[in-house]
Amino acid sequence: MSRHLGRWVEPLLLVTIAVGIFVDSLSYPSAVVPGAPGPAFFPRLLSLVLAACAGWLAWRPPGAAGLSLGGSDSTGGSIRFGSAIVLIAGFLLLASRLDTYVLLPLLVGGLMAIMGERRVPALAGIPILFTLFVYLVFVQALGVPLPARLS
Amino acid sequence: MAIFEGFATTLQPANLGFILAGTALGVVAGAIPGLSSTVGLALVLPITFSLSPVPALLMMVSLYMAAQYGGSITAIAIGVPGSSPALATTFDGYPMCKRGEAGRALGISLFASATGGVIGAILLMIALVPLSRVALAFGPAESFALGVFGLSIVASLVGKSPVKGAVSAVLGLVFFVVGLDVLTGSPRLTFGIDALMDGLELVPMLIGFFAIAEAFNAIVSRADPNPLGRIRGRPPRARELAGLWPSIARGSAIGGAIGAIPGAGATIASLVAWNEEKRASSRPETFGRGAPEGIAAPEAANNACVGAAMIPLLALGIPGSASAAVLLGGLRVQGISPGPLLLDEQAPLVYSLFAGFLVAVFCMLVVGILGIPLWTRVVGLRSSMLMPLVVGISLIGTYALRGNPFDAWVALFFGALGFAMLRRGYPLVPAVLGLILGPMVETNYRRALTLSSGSHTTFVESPISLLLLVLAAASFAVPVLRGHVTRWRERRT
Repeated sequence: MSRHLGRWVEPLLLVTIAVGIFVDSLSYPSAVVPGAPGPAFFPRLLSLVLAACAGWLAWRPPGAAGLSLGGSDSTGGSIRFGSAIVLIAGFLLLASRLDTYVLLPLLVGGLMAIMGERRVPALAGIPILFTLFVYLVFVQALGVPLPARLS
Repeated sequence: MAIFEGFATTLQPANLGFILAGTALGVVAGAIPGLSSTVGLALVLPITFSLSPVPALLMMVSLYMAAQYGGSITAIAIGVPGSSPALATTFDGYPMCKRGEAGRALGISLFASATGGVIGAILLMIALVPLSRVALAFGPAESFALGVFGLSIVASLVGKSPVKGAVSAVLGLVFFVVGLDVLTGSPRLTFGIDALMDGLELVPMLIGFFAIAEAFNAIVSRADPNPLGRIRGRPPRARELAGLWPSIARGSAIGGAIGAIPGAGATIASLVAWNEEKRASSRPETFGRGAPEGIAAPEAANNACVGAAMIPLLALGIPGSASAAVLLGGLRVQGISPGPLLLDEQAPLVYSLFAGFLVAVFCMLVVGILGIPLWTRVVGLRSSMLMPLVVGISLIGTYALRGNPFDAWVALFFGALGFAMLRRGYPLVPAVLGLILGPMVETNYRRALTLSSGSHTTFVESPISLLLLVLAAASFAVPVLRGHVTRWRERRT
């Protein structure tokens, strides 16, 4: 993506959010007390402020955009980020259907592998110890029932 | 006296145990680069919900306090601040370590941190009651103006761009709007999703923003701290510590003053303290080369900030920093709303908190002295081992809060959003503050207009409201105008 195009992405995204909020607010009921603002007033005000900020960012983009994914590491970083999101989303989707105590070690081990951990004892041992810790602290000590088909 | 009852509660064995646990976790969270007091607090948040309010709050406060000291361990030992408030400590701490005086530097840091912590706690005790009494007189117009002021000052001070801070704050207010309108009960921004009818919970947002986003950051950058060697060198002598009193006093005063301003925070306080110490010194050339005063002042400042940051949180319900916002989340989990009425409604809790601060400082001294060999091992943990555990605890902890899997999805959403915002230079604290102060801002705005039959002059008729709104506008206008003037001058030259 060119630098010129990149400058417009954030303002456009913010304007889209602002328009979405404004459109949604059109369906809210009007004020109960005459003269006082109704439930739609505040979201509309926020959408206008957001649009104004987007306009400002498009007109005067700040010099430093913050951290970037970082030079040669950017592709690898994006792949790791995407993999982590997929892994966590998969865990959340399956946790209520399968067993947390089976899925949690897989989640932790998977994230360790994504982060570059290659030592087999660590990849096997740490997720199991962590799951044991979760069981002892949350289930035994705090009495929180985790989604677990087997227990 | 109530404070003695507070000490009696705090010194109960179980509460002492929670303070010690919070202290140990705080030192570790502060010391490990990538974690911080905020991440540490976010991770223990789900654990505190099953505790009663006093031990829960004592654990969180001791963690917050100890994390400020913990940051100095890696700052001194490897020149990488464990958390951002320890940045100024690297300037003189690391050169001392390279000279083989790491033990001396850590001793100075611990002593200065403890003293700063005590002074911050005393400031909190002195300022809380009068500020609460003033805030009790606030009507809807003043409360609205206070909320706007809190949001604007944090948005303009945190981060590099005030406009990006404003965007973050507005997004936070948008997150507050999600759910049923508190005055009319009509659904807003729910998009037909039943789970959104109750609104977005604060705790999943906090855990997502401060724990999961940080883990994503580590996953992407795959950065590991330098291995920590053995910490060598004798600890400082009592005479040397006594000689550092003026530096510690100055640092504590700066930390106390800056820490009480919402948004300013411990990092700014410690950098200002280091700079002022250098200016006050008769040997400024030694700063940056291992001057003990260059450790004492910033460490006293960042710990004094802890007590000072609790002043606006407890008296006005406005968290001045990310860690204070997570503490507010901890209070909300316990069903406690900080604000002007807190002292009247929860006096035993507040006095236990006062006592807890002082006990936490003592525990920090003990844990700090005894734990140095252990911290060197813990701090050396690889990110590839640590961050997956942070994600695991965050997801399980968020689920555990209400037994609702939707909360874990919310935490993941905010983790990804927080990561993206950080990468694009948008500060997270204003967004959290937007969610927290949303009810204060919108509800009081609508109430004020209902009382005044729709007349906006109600906001300028009250001197307090007018002053707060002018300050809010100035907090945005000044940095933006200053930027324009600087650019104009640069173009002219």
